[in-house]
Amino acid sequence: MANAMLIDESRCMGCRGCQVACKQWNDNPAEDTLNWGTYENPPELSGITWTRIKFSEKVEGDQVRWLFLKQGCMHCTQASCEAVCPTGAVRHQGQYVLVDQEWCIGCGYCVAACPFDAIHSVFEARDGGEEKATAKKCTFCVDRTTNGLPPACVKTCPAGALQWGDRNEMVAKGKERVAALQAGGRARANLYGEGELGGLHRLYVLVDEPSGYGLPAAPRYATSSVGAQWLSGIVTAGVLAAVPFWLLFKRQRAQEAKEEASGGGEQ
Amino acid sequence: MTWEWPIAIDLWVAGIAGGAYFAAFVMNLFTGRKHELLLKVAVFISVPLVLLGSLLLVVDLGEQLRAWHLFTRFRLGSPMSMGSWILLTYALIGIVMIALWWTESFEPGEVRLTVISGLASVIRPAAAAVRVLAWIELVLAVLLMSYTGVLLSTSNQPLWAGTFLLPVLFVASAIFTGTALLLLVLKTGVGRLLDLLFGGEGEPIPNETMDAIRNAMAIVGVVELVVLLGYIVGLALFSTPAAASAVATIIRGPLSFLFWAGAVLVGLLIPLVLLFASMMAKREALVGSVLASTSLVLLGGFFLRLVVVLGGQMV
Repeated sequence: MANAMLIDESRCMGCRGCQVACKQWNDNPAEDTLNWGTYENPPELSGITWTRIKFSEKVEGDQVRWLFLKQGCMHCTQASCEAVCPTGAVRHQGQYVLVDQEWCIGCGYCVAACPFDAIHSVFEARDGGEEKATAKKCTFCVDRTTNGLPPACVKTCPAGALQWGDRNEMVAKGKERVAALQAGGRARANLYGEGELGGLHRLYVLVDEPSGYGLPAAPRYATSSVGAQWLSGIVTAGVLAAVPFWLLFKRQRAQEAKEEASGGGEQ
Repeated sequence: MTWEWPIAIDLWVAGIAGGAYFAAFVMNLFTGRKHELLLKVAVFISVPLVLLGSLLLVVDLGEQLRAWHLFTRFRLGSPMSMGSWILLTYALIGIVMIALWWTESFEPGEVRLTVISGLASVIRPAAAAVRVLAWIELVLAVLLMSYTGVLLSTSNQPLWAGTFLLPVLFVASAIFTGTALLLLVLKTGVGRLLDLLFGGEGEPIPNETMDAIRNAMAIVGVVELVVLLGYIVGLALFSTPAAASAVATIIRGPLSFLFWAGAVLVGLLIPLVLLFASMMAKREALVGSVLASTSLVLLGGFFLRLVVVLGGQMV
């Protein structure tokens, strides 16, 4: 039975308790940040910040409204990070997508491949500078959830915006909530994550279009066209072999043959 | 930023290596194997480049001592896994080819340094395998060039993922820069020196051949320029808004100087003008013009990789 997290963004109030709970349970240090003119903090997810509330400002008439989004790993069924990992360190274990910290070589390919920007390299202080280490991200608190406890963020959410449970049940609850929001006048309310990338294990009840939150409307599986990409490189080499190389050297060969023939005539 | 200049240098030198071998192989093939020396020179210069690129890849890893984990898996879907295998086998086969060529410099029964000639006589019977290895190396060279583009395009960064033209652009640039290095090495005589060092005859390359290489290079450069234009325009106008803003960081933003001055002007426009001027002159290419154009092409290839690698991670 796959579990999933249901995130009701219509209930989120942006308190960021989930961020603190996540840091505490997973023993992640604080980020060194400066006030950059918003309550949003830290500025982005990182190897030591696995969840974060993103504040999107939406202008409606003369009103500015905030859209809150609890960012983090979606534990996609078709996980791009898993697909591109050259050593197999990132892999599925049930619904969890986990990074084997003993096997990860810290190449950073998963960071470039993730459609949700949810996995990052940890930068460790070494020799006076910062050096890239392994990749880390949300684990759905695998140590808690495999022992019957909800993830730390779910446990702590004071607004009741987070739920953890059987995925089918979470999908049904999400749909129910979307219907209620739509009936209450939030016409653009929708459920995100049910079918994206084979089904995400983080489901969102959104009150606006996914793009309003900065979520990709159609997230792309990084390796979806990898065969065709290789082919376009190989075909280019083939075409360039014909033009100019074959054309030019065919001419040179013909010229040489002619010279040889005329040279033979003189003898 | 996860990927910085070491990755850009790797993509650059891997492209040059693959491009030089590819160009040398097809030129040798299309002239009825009259230019074995070209092929030798290409292997001599591409193997160290591939080793350098691989070294930089390891340096860039977060856990360098675990680099061997790469060779415990063969993952077709992961261009980095494929790329590691390609770099490794390309270098190994290149080294074997050099060793086999080198045994040819020994006369059978000749007594030189005992250990070395003994070694040479052991591998000498396999010398005929060079032809087969050369074909395998060609396949690897094409994959090596493609890998530099596919590595980036198999991702979710807007500048890299939204287009099929990135592998096309990098392959074109690989062949352009590879031909440039080949021509530079031949024109300066380093190629003959390398050949002599490894036991070859050190025969000179005829000027017509060098001019033909220059002409081929000029045409590849024009193709690359067109592809680059298509890549930029395609992303800016026909892709996602994220891709359009990624393009803006390249053509107007912080990377614009590196792009316009480095990749476009130094890497393409100036050398193309020099190459075509030398073609029009209808006489043997001047050494200075060849040196200038090939060095600029090589430099420009690096700027292009740097702009694309950094630009992809800036949005």
